[in-house]
Amino acid sequence: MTRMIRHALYAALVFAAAGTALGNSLVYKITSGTVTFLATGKPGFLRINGEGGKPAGHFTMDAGHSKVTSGDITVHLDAFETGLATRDRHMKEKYLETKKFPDAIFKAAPLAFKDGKVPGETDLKGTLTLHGVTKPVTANVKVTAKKFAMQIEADFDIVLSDFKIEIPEYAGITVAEKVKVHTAFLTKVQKP
Amino acid sequence: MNRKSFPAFITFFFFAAAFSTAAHAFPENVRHGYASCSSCHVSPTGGGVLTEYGRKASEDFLTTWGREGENGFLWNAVQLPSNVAAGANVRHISYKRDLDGVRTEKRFIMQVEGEVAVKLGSKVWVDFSRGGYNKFEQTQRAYVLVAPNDNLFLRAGKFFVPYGIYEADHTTITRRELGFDQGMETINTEIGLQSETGEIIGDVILGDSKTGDASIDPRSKDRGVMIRAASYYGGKSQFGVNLLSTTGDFVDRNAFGAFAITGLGERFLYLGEVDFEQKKLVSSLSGRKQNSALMSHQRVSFEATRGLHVSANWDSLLPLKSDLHTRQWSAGPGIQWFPWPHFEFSVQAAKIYQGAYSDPRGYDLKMMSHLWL
Repeated sequence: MTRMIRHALYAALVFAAAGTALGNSLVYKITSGTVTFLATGKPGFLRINGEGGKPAGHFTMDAGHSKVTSGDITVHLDAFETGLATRDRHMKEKYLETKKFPDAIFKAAPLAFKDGKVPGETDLKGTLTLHGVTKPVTANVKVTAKKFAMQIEADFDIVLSDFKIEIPEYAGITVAEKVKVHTAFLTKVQKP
Repeated sequence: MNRKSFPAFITFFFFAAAFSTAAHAFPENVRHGYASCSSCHVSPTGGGVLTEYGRKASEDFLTTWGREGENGFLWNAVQLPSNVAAGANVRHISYKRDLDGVRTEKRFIMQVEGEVAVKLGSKVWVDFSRGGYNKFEQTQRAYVLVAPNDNLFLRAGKFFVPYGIYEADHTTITRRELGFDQGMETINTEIGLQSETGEIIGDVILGDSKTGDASIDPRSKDRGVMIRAASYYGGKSQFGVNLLSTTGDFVDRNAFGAFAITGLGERFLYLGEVDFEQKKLVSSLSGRKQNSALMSHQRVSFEATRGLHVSANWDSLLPLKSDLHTRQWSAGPGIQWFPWPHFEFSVQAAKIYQGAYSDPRGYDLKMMSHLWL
């Protein structure tokens, strides 16, 4: 807990200094990161690990660092691979239809931090646009403040039918409707 | 294994299990996310006829070359109904042994078998195999499998109980010494609970001399219970424990074991099993001879290119209290290659130690060719 408070205070100081330089808001650009997903096939509880997704985008916070004012993350879906070429082809061509809907886009809703401090962990609401459908999602977010930067990890579930994605079925294996998504990325304060 | 090396070995084993990132006919597939067997095999505990998915998925990761559809039944020349899984195996072995001043060399077809499974409705499979195994004609698998939902299965019939790591190579010390050698399938009833995180499987062994092959090993007649509990970890690992307790006309025995199968990075695989077995001869004429032993099967393999695996193998039996066994071990390299769908070639060389011989040190060389249809 002491460590969390120290990080939060440190982050607040850093953000305050940067905020003074930038004016009323701070923009944190994603400089590196990964997006992965875990789907389960039945029978047999086959684990389908999707890797290779790279997030791009930014978050904006107010100068006082008491809230996220907006956020925008885009992931290019063709980058995902699951380790099997046939499965990847089916995933992109038949189910995600990546030629028609190449990106998944998360837009964060404004979030005021409790006590006006950057939290170690919080729920972040927003919308996810996938397969041409936009739906609200809530991600569990963990934040680690660094010097002029934040390391962010987020987890959320998506339900395929919510996004009008056909339930993948191949040679007797059916993928479960709920897919777990995990992302971890580093954001850095953009220079004015 | 001496007293000094044993603790280090145990430490290594449990370290590998605890920090693994990824048990069956091709247990290596665990590292592709196939922690359970029932995606690719009709049998929920692995081995035997492949499902349609098993055939198709293997084209993507099992063989060096191949085109889509090539691993279909009879190279896809015959389209099976969607509720039918069928296959056949032919295995030829060339075997050389140099031990105690005697050189043995054999070449023979060790397996020609066919198997068919039919799905009745959406929850019931009926499976039957028949084949010749080095001059024995036998049914090794014949069972009815009911899976009321994704988490539960019930099975009755003839098959191997899922003790430890189930590999195609039945000559490993753990398979052979624990009674899971070629042709030693027994009549069992089985219940299995599976989830995303693991499995618990229980078997009542109703061994029957008319079906379990008592001519190969009298333990096939034994009756008892087996329990297996395994955890899937990180999507690419399985590790678990087994208990086996049987009683028979010749031997009463209890065995306990632990195993781990784990992908180490993208190309390495560790597979290991350690078992403790305690048994007593039943016959009073034998003076109730007793035996307890520690058995181990260890392998580290590296996939040099897709379908080509180079391995280092270590098998051992260490008698702890022994009226029945002597120390034995084997160690050496192996190569397993799946060039195209339907073909497998493997070579294993090993330095061996058989304590029962006056000159216990020798050499083994095994070359195996496998065709599946």
